Amino acid sequence: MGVVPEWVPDTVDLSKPSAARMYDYYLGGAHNFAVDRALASKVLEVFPDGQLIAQANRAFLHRAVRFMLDQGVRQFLDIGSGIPTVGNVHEIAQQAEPTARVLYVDHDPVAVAHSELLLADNPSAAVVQADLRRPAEILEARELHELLDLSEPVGVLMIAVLHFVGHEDRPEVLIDRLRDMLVPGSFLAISHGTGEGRAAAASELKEIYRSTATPVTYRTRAQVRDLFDGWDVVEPGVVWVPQWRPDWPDEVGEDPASTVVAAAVGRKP
Amino acid sequence: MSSMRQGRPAGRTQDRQPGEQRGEAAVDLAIFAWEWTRVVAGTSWVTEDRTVVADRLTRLTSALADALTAEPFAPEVGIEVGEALVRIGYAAPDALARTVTLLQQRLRADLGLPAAVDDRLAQLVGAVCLGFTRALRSRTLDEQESIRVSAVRAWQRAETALREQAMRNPLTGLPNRSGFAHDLGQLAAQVSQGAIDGTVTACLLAITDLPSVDHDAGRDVGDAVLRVLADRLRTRFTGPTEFVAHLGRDEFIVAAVDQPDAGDATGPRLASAQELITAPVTVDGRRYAVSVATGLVARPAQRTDAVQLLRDADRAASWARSQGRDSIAIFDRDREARERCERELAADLPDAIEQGRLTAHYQPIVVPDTRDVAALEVLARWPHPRHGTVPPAQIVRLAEHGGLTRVLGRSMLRRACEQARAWLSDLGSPPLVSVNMFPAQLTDPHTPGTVTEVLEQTGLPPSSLQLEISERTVLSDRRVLRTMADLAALGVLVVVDDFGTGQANVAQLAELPDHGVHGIKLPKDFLARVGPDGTACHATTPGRAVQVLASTIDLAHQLALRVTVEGVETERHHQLIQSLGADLAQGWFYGHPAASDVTSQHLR
Repeated sequence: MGVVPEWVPDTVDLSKPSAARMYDYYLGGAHNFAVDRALASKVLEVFPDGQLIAQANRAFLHRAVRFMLDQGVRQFLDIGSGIPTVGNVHEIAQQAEPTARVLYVDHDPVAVAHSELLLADNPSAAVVQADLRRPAEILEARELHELLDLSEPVGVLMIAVLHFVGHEDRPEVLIDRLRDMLVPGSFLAISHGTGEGRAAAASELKEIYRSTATPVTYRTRAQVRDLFDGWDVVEPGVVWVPQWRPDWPDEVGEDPASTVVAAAVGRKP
Repeated sequence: MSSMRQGRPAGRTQDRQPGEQRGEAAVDLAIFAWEWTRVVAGTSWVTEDRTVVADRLTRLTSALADALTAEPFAPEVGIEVGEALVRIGYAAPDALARTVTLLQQRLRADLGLPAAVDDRLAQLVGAVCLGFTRALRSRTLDEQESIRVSAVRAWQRAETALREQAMRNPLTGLPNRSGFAHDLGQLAAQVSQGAIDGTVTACLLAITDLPSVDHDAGRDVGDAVLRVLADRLRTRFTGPTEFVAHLGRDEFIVAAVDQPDAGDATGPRLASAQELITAPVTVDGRRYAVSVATGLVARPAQRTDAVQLLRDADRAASWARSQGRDSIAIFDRDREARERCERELAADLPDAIEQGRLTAHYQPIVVPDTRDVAALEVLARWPHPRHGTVPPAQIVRLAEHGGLTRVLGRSMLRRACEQARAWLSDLGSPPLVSVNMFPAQLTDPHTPGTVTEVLEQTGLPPSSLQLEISERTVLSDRRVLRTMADLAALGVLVVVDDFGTGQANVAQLAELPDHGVHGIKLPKDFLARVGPDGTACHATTPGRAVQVLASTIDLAHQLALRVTVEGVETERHHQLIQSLGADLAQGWFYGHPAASDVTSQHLR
């Protein structure tokens, strides 16, 4: 990146709810403020199983990271990492492989500051503030090129983030450019709210998030599949988030579709 | 978990149940632990795999089981179990509720213990709740603290970024005007601590033709050119006491502190910045070259005020700009003082006119033969509180620059008419007053109306007023001719001033009487060429100047125009113009312009 900052510095408005802190609340964390909890409570009225859905999402992140580790991936790019609570990517990865490197990316300045606190003593993990709606911010980030070795495969994680990116912001552009930049054997994991099957609740949720900095855009499973254009989607394909390679058969539950979250992992051929 | 084991009371092993019951109890423990694992699942997010969780809960169950039967009874084991539950990740209130229910409903039965342990169980459950809530409270507070610290950090960072951005030019990333002032201010602080001494030299580079690049190639290209220029400056001036800033869109400044022992190479070094700007720039395969006006300022580092430095550098650059392409000008305090005086006067003039702070002086116009005062030319003087008396020529220049000639002309006309009316009352038959008209008044169709109004308000007869119209006015302008005729029709006398210096040609002279013109005034240039003793100054043209003067007077007379000769300074001049038949004469020989009271005394 040049020395010229072309961005307008983000203002930090603590009177506005943040999707990252709301997600922390769903997971039972206390890294959130009253304004976040107020809106999150409304969401839980609409989706009483919201906390379970968040947990299922989190569990998918873990399984995906462990899968990628099994496939030999030793570096990760977690885009939309949010508030790093216990059991984050670097903890999973570095437990399995102490030299594993992890770069977190989020656009929420508070989430980024919190990640910095957490990662202060970890030379193999870093965070960069960037907005995936502006791919260059990520692709040209100094930290990306310093921390990660782009001649080796990278595991890209976009967990529960793309439904905060509108169609007009064309997330496929970033995905395509990442695919072009990364070497074969790299992976991409996505989980994404579809709204399918619980249309009324989904539309209420969308309405609740409309006032936030991150309004919601649902994509159907087919549209999620399209995001993997140029990647080989690994088994079992695009499925409901608990169905993706569960550790235990009963984890899937009786009605995995009720999570309304689709998940998949792709490999760059 | 190991801490829990260490926390057990000494001698515990001896208090255990007999060994033959251990295997069976272990199975019971596992059954209970799996049930525990099942009921808390889903209440909270935990990182560990289910088998790991089950293993941990098995150990917790074992600790509780031991506590139920061990002697002495140690209920604090429950506290540790509650804390451990939170540590594993089962920190949701639901996890505690389900744990409590399960412990009460099944622990004793699953382990096959007698009802006698119920009291201990109740105490243990209470301790579990205590441990759990204590640990949860502590975790919650820690998390709240960490998110607040993060929020403050993020907020401070955003503020800093905003502040820094406010001090940078968004196009090039170089410091802008306030960034430059800030950097220089820090330098001044170092100077005052004695860390740096010497001279600050600043070189302001004002690109003069960027608008044409913007216009011809587009503003994007202009931006690209500026970025290249900024990079050149940035990479050339990298020293610890060198500054580069991007002030306006097309202004850069380079400044450096010259240490006393470093020789005096700073000036030339900074001036070399000019070459960096004028060297061609290639954008998208096309070459662009801009020119630059460079202003240099140097002053002692200890007394450098960034705002003043910028202002002076700006001034010097504006001088350079008026000197032509790629010029360099060095700031000159005297020149600036003169120009500032001029600017201050220009700024003060409107109020001075409005508030009547300009005074009228009167210079006699005499009949040469009798030396009787036939008229008095009104000249404006301005006694300025700071800059002394401002002479008429400068007042006129300032008024012309400031577009104030109509206001000034009207004000002097009123002043003169009031004075003339006073003299009329005092003296009976005073001289005419002769008032100069400005070009802007002559193109203004309202002027005859204004003159009429002033005459009516002051009660001065039109025949007591003479208006002098400079030949520098475009006499061929229809509007001017119309105004002149209208003024003459009022009954005032109209004369053409500065004859022979302006726009009129001799052919037009013949038409002047048709437009109501009554006479002409020959400026002092005519007599100046004659010389003070009546002989021509230029030996090669003896007598020609006199001949021109004589012929002009003759010509005017043939057209029935009265002739006033100005610039009569000597007795010889007086004799000459008398012999040539001038109707009226004006000059220091007869009298300097004087204030109204002095003039009044003279007239009596």
